[in-house]
Amino acid sequence: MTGSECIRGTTLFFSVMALLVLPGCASFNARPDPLRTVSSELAAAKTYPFETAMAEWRTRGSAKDVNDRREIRDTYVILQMRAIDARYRAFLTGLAQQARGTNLVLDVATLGLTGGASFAAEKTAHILSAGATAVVGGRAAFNKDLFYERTLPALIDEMNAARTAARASLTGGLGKTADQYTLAMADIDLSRYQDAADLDTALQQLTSAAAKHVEAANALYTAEFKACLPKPDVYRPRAEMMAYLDSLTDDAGKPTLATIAGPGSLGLVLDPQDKTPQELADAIRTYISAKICDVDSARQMVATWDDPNTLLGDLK
Amino acid sequence: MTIKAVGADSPGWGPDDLAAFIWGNEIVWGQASQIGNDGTTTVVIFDRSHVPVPQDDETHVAVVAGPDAPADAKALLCSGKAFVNGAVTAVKVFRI
Repeated sequence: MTGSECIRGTTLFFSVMALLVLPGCASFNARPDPLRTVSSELAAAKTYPFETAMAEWRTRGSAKDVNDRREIRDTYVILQMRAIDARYRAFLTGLAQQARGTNLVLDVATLGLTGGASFAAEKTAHILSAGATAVVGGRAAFNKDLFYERTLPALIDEMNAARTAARASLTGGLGKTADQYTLAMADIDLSRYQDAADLDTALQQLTSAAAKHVEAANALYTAEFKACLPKPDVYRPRAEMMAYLDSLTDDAGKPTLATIAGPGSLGLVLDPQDKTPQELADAIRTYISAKICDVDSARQMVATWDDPNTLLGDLK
Repeated sequence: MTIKAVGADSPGWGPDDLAAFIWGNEIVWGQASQIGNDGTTTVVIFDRSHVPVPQDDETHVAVVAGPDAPADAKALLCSGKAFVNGAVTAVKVFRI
């Protein structure tokens, strides 16, 4: 064994030892132990299942029993909500412990050899795939930062938002009479409340939101012109001009749009034949936003427009 | 949904000017959905899937810098940081 091999071997030994030891002590609590444990809340909920509640509900059908029915419903809903909340808290705690444990393993691994790092990466992928298969997908190499430090908090936010929305139906229902909000309706809302804590659904929401942000960012990039300050008397003329443009935004109307936007008129587009009707109409809209800010300028602009359907009203 | 962003001609406009700018361009591009700035002026994003049609010469938008909505507000269209009288200010845009 050469000197360098010896150093490498020693480093490997300590790296492997660290990997073996740290996962066991990597978990630490970020909050006090809950007074209401999952097991106690589940036990309480099991004492009053839906079948029992519904059986009692059915025995109280007369008008004078309406308050009894409400009490049955409220008792059932509250016990179920507490159990669902307890399980959700445990779920979040588990996610956080996985994150801390994984980070510690990786941090140690980065100090060691490639072999240790590879092992840690596989372990990370396994932990992640156990928690959220959709997130891991088919990617072999997974960056733990991407998931636990950036994506996971956003996913938890999404789940919390979904739970808040679902909880609103329940808490709103508890304020109603038993006739207005029946036990069956409450049970459906409870299912929605429980299903709101779903990483896959949260990921879909997050992906959708990200797509909208990209769309918004692209739109901002198109803000390449500045619009003038319109006077109130141009609001309706602008609307009439939009109705006129809308009526031309097809193949039949393209020659007219090309004439308006082309070099012989406004000169907004040098090669109108190469543009779509929508592109030509948008060039004219941009001009209107930037230049047509009072009724006189609107009249001047449309003076040469042919308007057989009188869409331009008294502008002509 | 298609959207379009339009920049305001002047960063020195006040709330009423911004309201007129927004309403005047909603008629052209669609309902305002986001408001912000590009570092030099106010930028508004318009949702082209819904284009309001004015029935009168009134400005049916109010831009408010404070926390309160106008008494005649029908809906909050968007909120963000826009240039108001030359300074970046948190504003809310209401349909009135």
